[in-house]
Amino acid sequence: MPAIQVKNLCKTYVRRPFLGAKVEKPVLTGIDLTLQSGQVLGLVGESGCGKSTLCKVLLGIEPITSGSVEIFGENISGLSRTSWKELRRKMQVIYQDPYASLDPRFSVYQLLSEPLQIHGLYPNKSERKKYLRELLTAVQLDPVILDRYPHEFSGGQRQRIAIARALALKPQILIADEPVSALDVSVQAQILNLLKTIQRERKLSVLFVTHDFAVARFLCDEIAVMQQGKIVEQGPAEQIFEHPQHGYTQKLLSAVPSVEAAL
Amino acid sequence: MMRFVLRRLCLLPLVVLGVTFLLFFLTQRLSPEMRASLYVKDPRQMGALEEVIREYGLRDNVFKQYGRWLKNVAQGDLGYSPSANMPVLQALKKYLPATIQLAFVTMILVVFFGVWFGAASAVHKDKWQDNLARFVSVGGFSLPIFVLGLILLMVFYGQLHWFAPGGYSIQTDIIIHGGTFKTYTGFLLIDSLLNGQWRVFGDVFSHLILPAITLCIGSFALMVRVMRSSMLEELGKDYVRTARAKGLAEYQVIYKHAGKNAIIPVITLAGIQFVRLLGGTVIVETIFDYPGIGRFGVLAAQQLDIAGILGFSLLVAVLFVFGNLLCDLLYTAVDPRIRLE
Amino acid sequence: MQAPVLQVEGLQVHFRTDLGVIPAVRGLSYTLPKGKVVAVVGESGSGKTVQALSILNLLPPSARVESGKILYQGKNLLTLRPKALRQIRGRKIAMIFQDPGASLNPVLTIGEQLCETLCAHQKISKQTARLRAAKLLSQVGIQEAEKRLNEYPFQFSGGMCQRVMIAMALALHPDILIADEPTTALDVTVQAQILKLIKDLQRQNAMSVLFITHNLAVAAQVADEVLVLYAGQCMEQAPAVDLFKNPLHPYTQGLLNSLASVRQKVEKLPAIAGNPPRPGEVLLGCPFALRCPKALKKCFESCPPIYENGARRTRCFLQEGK
Repeated sequence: MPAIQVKNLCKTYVRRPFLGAKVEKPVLTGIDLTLQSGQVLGLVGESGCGKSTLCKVLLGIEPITSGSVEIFGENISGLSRTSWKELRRKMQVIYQDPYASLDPRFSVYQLLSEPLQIHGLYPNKSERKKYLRELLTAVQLDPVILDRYPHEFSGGQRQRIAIARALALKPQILIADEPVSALDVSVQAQILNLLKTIQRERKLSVLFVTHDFAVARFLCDEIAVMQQGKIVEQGPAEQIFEHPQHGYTQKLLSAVPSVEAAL
Repeated sequence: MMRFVLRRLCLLPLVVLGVTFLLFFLTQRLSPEMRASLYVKDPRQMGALEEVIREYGLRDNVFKQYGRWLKNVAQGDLGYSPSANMPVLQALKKYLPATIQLAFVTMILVVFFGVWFGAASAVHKDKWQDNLARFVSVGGFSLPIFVLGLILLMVFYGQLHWFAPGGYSIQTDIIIHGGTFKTYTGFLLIDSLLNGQWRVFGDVFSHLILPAITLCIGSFALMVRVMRSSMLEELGKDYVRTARAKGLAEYQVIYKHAGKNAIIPVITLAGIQFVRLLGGTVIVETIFDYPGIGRFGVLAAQQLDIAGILGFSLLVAVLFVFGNLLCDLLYTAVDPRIRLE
Repeated sequence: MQAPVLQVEGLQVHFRTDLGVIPAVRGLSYTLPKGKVVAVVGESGSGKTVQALSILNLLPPSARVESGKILYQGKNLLTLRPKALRQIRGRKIAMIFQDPGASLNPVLTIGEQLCETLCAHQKISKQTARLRAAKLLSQVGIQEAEKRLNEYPFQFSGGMCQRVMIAMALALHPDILIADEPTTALDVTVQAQILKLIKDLQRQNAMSVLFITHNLAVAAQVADEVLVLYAGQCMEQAPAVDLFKNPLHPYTQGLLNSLASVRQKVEKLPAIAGNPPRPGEVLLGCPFALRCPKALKKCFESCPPIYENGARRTRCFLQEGK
């Protein structure tokens, strides 16, 4: 069973001004996408193509206009609150900007234990601490930082904390929305390696949203190229990179600057 | 654009109905006898009280009475105001221009000095200009209108005899009602100019000054604050850096680039303040005995002149909607993003 | 080597914050040769943007130049009177920025903003200025220039806004263009177009370009010479080809190795360990020593000087005596 199966998904934003004709803005038009269990699917596209909207729909933040989204075979439209809560335990998210995604008033301990509290896991305080220390070790952070606050950390360290938080509930699916594009060049590689290791070890299914083809090539098994609310090409990563079929993919690939090409 | 205006005008009946019905409902707390009593002044004619109540249906259900009032309003009849001794509509026509005149002069003071002080305060952040502007705005916030009004009246009328209360002097009254003075707009400031009567203009203006200053102080303080923070925000933006990088002179960078953007929130505020002033002249007009709509409203309220109160609030509600509309239109004039989208 | 048009000597810039004085640029020296593109590469907090802003004194109020000289045509720009500096800004040295949408004034038309630049430095009529502005827009590849002069920035896409910025910067044929991350906010396809445009215009006008970027691949595409900054100091400076083919400084080597490539899939990226120094962190010795795989004992004790070898300058003890 695929982890995520999207069929003919459409999303249209509708604005209804007072006493005026309604304004419709289609953002996703007929998306078909399959994330196989245990694989990394790269969703690549330029800004405004609808990548982020797709993420929001998958996470249940935005309602579906038409079509269907199934997560482990379960259709997400019309799910009750409790089923959503269960589903969110299986599916976690990492955002682009680790400066904005961590509440500055929460200590690392509070940040990481919040998801556990919500789902009533590790109620025993010492066990919870032990678990969180393990979690920090898994993202290659020193476990002694539990009592510290986000502002004491650099961008890369913050993103590790954000990853630890996403892993706290032992999810099966991870949605990563541009997780390295806000980071410094010298730190990006560390985080990419970390994501790869974690994905392998925990056999996570990852939807990796990015605009960077180089990053996608390193991490993804499968690539979907998105343009203006549509998936124009999807296939195994090697095939997409070596033999892109669609003109848009070719155009994007040839525009990627690279050191080798410049010399 | 037309669509937008029309849509806004559709709001008008909603606001007017809401406000007037609420007031109507509140006045029903008074017994029909109390409401009728104003029309029967002579104690010997108490028997007529019952007659008035019956004639005007004052014991009817509130909706029925309200419906009747609305029907009359639709026909241009706002009732008779005993407190002003004339029909409500006529009273409004008589008193409104003076208030608009006052609010307008106040608004010019508020916007001009508010924007100027606010901008200067942002540009010279933490220098003496900023401290002065902040001192003035804190003072403006904390000084109640009636205290300031009385102080100004004591100093400039009581001690110095510079400015007198009232709307105009007796000499002006004689000129206006002398027969040769033509009324064009009802606004004395404008009419006096059109008649070529400079003395009348000067006289009316000098009667406006003290109420205008009293009225402006609160709004002015707010305006300085908003302009200051808006300007500070704009000065930190990228396009200001671009303007400097182009080699523009500092005044162009500040006034043409930052200023034009910083003024946008100020316009909203100015619109709201203008409407608030129109309704809020009540205290100032009472202190300075200024013949405006606010004084009319106070008198009506004091004497339980229900027709007068309803007429007053109807007018304020209408002005409120139009004021907001005007402000939105100004907004679109300044900000192309709203105009063209 | 050609005579430099711009010369930066011992530049030090500090920020005054609630946390105390934070040095952002710590003794930077370099030269910009005539008609060349010099790329300044660095991560956030490396001081690359701050040093660029200090050239035209566009620093935010909290920043101050503590010492150093920036020489242009024999004059020190840092001590120039405001009026004299204004005559250089936009006319001799122009600048474009990272976020083109935000760098244009949202409530003025494109035409207004272009003409304003021309009128600030030349005595010309409004009509002449408008004609020139339209011509400039078509030069940077904007069609229907005449009509688009009356439009506002929000009606332009990000790439188009950057073209407008470029047109504005090049309006008066400046000697130097400072481009501060001009393509970072843009999509790759648009980035490629803008880079080409900058490069073409640079060649046509024999202009010198100071190109600030965090992206090594972008630097490789445009630069003749590359300057690598780290923690406010220059780590390595070399002709672009030399630097990318044979990086000498361990930081440059690390950066180049850690890049993911679109051309081949690797199992693991050789990442640089650790994190960049936090702003205000006290640095004894080489700022990179803590993350450097080749660090010697003395690297932690004193900061290495810059060793010059031909056209290459490297701040690393490993280059001593080479």
